[in-house]
Amino acid sequence: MRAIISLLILSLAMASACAHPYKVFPSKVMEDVDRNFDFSRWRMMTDGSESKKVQLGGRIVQSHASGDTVTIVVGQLPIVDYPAYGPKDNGKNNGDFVIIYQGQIERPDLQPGNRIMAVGTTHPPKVITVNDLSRSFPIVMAQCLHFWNTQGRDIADFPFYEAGYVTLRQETVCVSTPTP
Amino acid sequence: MRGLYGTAYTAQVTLVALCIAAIVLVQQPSLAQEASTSRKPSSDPIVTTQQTDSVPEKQGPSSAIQTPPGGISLEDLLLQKGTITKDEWLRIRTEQEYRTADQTRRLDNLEEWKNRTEVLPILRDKVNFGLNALQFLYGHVNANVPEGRSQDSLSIRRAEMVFWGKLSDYLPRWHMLMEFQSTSLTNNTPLSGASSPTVATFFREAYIDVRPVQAWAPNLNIIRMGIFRMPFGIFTETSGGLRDIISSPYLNGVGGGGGPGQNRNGTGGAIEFIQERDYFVDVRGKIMNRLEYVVGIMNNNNFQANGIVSNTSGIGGANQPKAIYTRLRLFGDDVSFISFTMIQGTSNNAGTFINGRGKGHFDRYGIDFRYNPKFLPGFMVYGEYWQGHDGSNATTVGTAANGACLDTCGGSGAPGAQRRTWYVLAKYLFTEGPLENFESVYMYEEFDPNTRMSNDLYTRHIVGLTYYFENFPPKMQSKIQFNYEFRHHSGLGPDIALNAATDPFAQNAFFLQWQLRYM
Repeated sequence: MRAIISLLILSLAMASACAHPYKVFPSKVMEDVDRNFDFSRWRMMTDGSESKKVQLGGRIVQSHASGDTVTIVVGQLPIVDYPAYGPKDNGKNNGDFVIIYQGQIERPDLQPGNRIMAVGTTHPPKVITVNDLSRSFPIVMAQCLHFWNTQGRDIADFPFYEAGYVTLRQETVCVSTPTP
Repeated sequence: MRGLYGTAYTAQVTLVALCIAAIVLVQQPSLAQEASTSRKPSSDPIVTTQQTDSVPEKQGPSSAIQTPPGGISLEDLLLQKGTITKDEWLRIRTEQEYRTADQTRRLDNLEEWKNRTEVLPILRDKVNFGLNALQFLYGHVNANVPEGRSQDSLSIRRAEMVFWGKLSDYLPRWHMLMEFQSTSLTNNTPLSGASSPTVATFFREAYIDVRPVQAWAPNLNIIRMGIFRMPFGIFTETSGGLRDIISSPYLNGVGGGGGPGQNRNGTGGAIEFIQERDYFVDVRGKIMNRLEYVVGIMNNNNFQANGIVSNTSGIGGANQPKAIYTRLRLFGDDVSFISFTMIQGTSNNAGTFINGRGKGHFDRYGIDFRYNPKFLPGFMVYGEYWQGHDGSNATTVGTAANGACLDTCGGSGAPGAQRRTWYVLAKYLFTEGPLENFESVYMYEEFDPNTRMSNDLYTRHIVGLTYYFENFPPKMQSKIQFNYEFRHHSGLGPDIALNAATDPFAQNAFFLQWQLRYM
């Protein structure tokens, strides 16, 4: 029995060591993404900055679908590798931005509080109304989106969550023709 | 009173303003002259009154005494035109100052309370609570019942509050679940003689999570210790507030409830093939986002066992700790998987709080799966298959038993038995159309209490219909469920007769349950 347990632990340790970092987007989509993108600076200087391909994550604040266009207001969160890959709540208000996606998204994926990650290009700000207040938000035209249906909780809270076991629903969507 | 204070305050401010104006006039005649022609009413008194009140300008709304665009306010204009006197002008400005100061004070108070409330644990995810399940149940079972009992019942099935929080990244969760429906006053299982009510617990779950090294997660995600739903299959680990059918599956409990008692075939009495909860410590993680594992050790004596641990001597109850378990779960996508579970150890009949456990070797082997296709999101099918051995002289809780001897030490007197059970459940949730929020469910299950015996099989078909008032699992789920159960019990094995009329597991039943869940 001890041998079995030792073997199991050893296997897990080796598997952990060899495990590749988990990514949600195809590698082709991730090409040319600016790895050193400064979100804070971009928010302050969206008018003057040139369009860049970026990867941003956050928490859905509000969303609106109109025809084939989905507009998602997102509170930015840092993307971390652990304890679970994805946007992680750091307890700070890092600022909001808006994702515009050309395509259909299922309603459960757009629930406020869900975690989201987008790959797309930055665009000049637009005025969006949130809670009856019109504000100017910097825009990301999304090429691909990934949703974690956490409903406000952190990704790392799943699946051993609440009074039982709850698998975390995820979804990845991409536009058929990338937005320029 | 306020009028008196207001007048005194106005006079005081006026005096101060006049004094300072005089000083300025004496020291800077040219500047004062200029002010007197262009902005005389607005400059000096404003500065003075602001200085006396020392109002912080960065907080609160824009000050009422700020000079409006264009450089002149209404009262200034009125003063210039001679419509109001200097005294009236001063009174107006003082009132404005007073209002501004009052607003600022209120905002300061709000800011102070905001600062206080922000550090409250309940607002920092350190302490949370929610309604795990409040279930009102109507049930009807066709079985004949003894005098004083009824085939129909109204009851609270679950009244569970859950509490949880995150203390830090290294202590990512603490958790407690209280069952207020019952404190579960449970009889002990003595070595001989009559049993007596021994233990009662409010809690059903209480555990601590530790994430020792952040960078190891999720490969080695958490170490969990306490009592919780065991990672044995799907139903066992699913909270009562999220289950798709009303009854528990036979793998969690079958027999008893007025039916035939335990017997020498090991086929009667209550049997809890897989206990839902236990005391344990285990390690959990997920590798490459595909392979989830759990490895741990448990008491193997149900949640009541905590009540018989002596706080002074430290001597624990029976069966502690005597079983290790592992589960490997391989994900096809985010929600579909197949799992393999193994439990190995020993069990005891004396002191047991789990029905149907004997003295000796104990094992369970299980395989479970769940399939939820992306192209048909409302459809889900899942199932489990379990097989395992219980030691000899298995007993029901509260019936005296002392060891593996078959005729002389209580218990059922049955030799060790291999048991087997399986089920498959399919459901479809309508997400649009006239049947939106309705969910149809079908489940079939079998339980064989002794695989070496014939005519002892329990079978059950369950058809159900659920309507969701709110369906945002895992946080919210309010629903009404109807289940009809077609039950069949083929017997108790050779040489033992079964009175099916009084066996609730041989008679059909239906249930109607209303549930609230919010957290």
